[in-house]
Amino acid sequence: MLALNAPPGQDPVRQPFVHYRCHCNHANSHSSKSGNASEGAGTTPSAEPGTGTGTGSGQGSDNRDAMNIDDASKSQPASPTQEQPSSQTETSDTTRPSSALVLAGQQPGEASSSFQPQNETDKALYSSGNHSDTHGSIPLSRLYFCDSCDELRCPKCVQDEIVCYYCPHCLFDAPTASVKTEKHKCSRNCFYCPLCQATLSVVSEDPDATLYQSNPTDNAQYYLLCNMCLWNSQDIGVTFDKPLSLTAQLQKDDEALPDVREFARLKDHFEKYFRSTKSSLPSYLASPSYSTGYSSTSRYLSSVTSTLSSHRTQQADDIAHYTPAVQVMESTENLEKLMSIVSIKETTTMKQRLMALQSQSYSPQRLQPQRIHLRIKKLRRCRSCRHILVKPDQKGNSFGFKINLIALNQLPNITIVSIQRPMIVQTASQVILRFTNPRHEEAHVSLQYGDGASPSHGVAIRSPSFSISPFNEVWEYEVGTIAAPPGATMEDVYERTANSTCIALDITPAVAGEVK
Amino acid sequence: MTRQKLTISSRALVCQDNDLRGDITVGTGTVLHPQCKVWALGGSIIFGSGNIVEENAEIINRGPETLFIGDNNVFEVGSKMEGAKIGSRNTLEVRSQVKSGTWVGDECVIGAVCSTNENEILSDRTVIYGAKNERRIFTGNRTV
Repeated sequence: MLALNAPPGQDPVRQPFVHYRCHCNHANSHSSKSGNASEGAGTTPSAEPGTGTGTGSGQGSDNRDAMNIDDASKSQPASPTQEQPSSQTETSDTTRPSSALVLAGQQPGEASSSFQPQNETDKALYSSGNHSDTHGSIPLSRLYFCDSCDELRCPKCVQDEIVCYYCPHCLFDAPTASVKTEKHKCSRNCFYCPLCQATLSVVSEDPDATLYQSNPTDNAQYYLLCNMCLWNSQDIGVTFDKPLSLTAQLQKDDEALPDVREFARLKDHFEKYFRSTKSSLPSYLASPSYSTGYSSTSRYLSSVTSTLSSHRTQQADDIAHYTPAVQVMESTENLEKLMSIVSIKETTTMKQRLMALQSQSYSPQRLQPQRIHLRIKKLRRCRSCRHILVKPDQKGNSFGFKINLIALNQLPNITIVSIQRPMIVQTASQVILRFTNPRHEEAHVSLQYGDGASPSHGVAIRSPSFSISPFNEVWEYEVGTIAAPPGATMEDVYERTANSTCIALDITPAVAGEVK
Repeated sequence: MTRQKLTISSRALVCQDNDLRGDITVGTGTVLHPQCKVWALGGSIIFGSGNIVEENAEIINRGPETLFIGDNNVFEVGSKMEGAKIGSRNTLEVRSQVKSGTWVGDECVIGAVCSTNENEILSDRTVIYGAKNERRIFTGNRTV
């Protein structure tokens, strides 16, 4: 939004909407160095419970500290409005959520006084994807609400854990025990096309074979076909007798490769020496799977060097000389072929090569179909109280959630209905906000000014505390607005419909510029 | 208002709400689904046998020469054919485009939302696939 005095047509008009700030340390650590980029960005949320109770005070003191830091670093009378929903549930009226929501309503500074190192704002800017707020505010749709802490949780103050592994193609739930031995890949008939990385389908040469006989004959060869680029595995000579458990059939071919057999022979040769000295080492040598991650290789290396050094001192001449069974020849054939390439099609692309990390061949004829990687489902926990916020279903092919504590279902959603444009300096203009209550109980909202600023700073809230009616599914199908239920107290609200309430704010800009 | 000449062979199917303009000859067994467009603006269009032109497909001939469409082609939903020549047993998948002046051979597959370039000659059995319109010549069978 641009206040007048700015040249017209400068920025594309973006629909403004409301962002929220979380209390967690990630946002707060950047808040203390606020300043330039956001024209005196508002304070971090500092919600004290209005009629404070003992349970809320612990949170409150942290927030007050954050607020004090902000005051010291800034010198401008920025006055964002803050709201604190204190939803009064039927069960408890002692605990109050002290989540603070910051609404854009701050004034642009004159020449802003405090400069700050640019990289810190960049960090905060990009952490939430919201470029207009250095504190990294997030829309309500990405926030969670922890029931036991009564706090908002942003995506940075939750921790993830793995629930299950599933194949994205056949939607098969891989049992967690076998995931590691299968190298996190699907162990059924799922492959990636080596050329275009689409999924391959298993087809038979004679599609009518099963019509005429009860069992498919042995002559009915099965092969893999890519539906996107029409690559088929007959080009590389891979055919199958049965259409089931193809990965097992391919794995047998894999193990016959010369380099895999060479590794097995090396392992056998050195195993007898290491087994005699250290007991911890053979666990790395004995596992056939290739090394997994930094930690195992570093431990392996350190243990190898330690045993080798011990060998040097003790049994240096005990290791027999190892003659490799396969002679690796210096072949220039690859080089010559690469130098004689005419068109780019004769060699593989980086993406094709990196799909098959073991071989990484340069020629497209030697690319093999790769097994499909498994995907995971994650659950999210609150970092402080370790309760689960979001837990998806255990089955791979269902996308529901067993537990889904998202903020949209708990807190009122704030949207901007209308803004009186253009905003002229020194004149009051009206902004209308709508609060929508998603819960089945009534919610009471009280608004506060940021930093305890007064209405003289340019923002006037006409209805500082109001209530929102509960959500009722029946009303969703009614057309038109519904009058307030009888018995509700009439406060000075702008409009009240089924489960939402609109209030009006009067904003008087002090200086021309951008309003956030 | 151009004078329209429409020749429909036996066993062909032309629907009432087809948008047809110009000289069009429809071969045997060819089916023009409802809501498709066949515009023979510059020159006439001659269909072979057994073609399938699905809904919202557009076949437009602006050039002065006749557009000969071969046999057993499939023009899937939303595809656009503005080329100059097309052979037999091709498939233009959903929302694909053959740009003007292009010659398409036999048994080609233009993938979904893929398009050719203008004034291009596609050899037989060309597959155009992927977001970047990559192509290759395929061997073996297609399970059609």
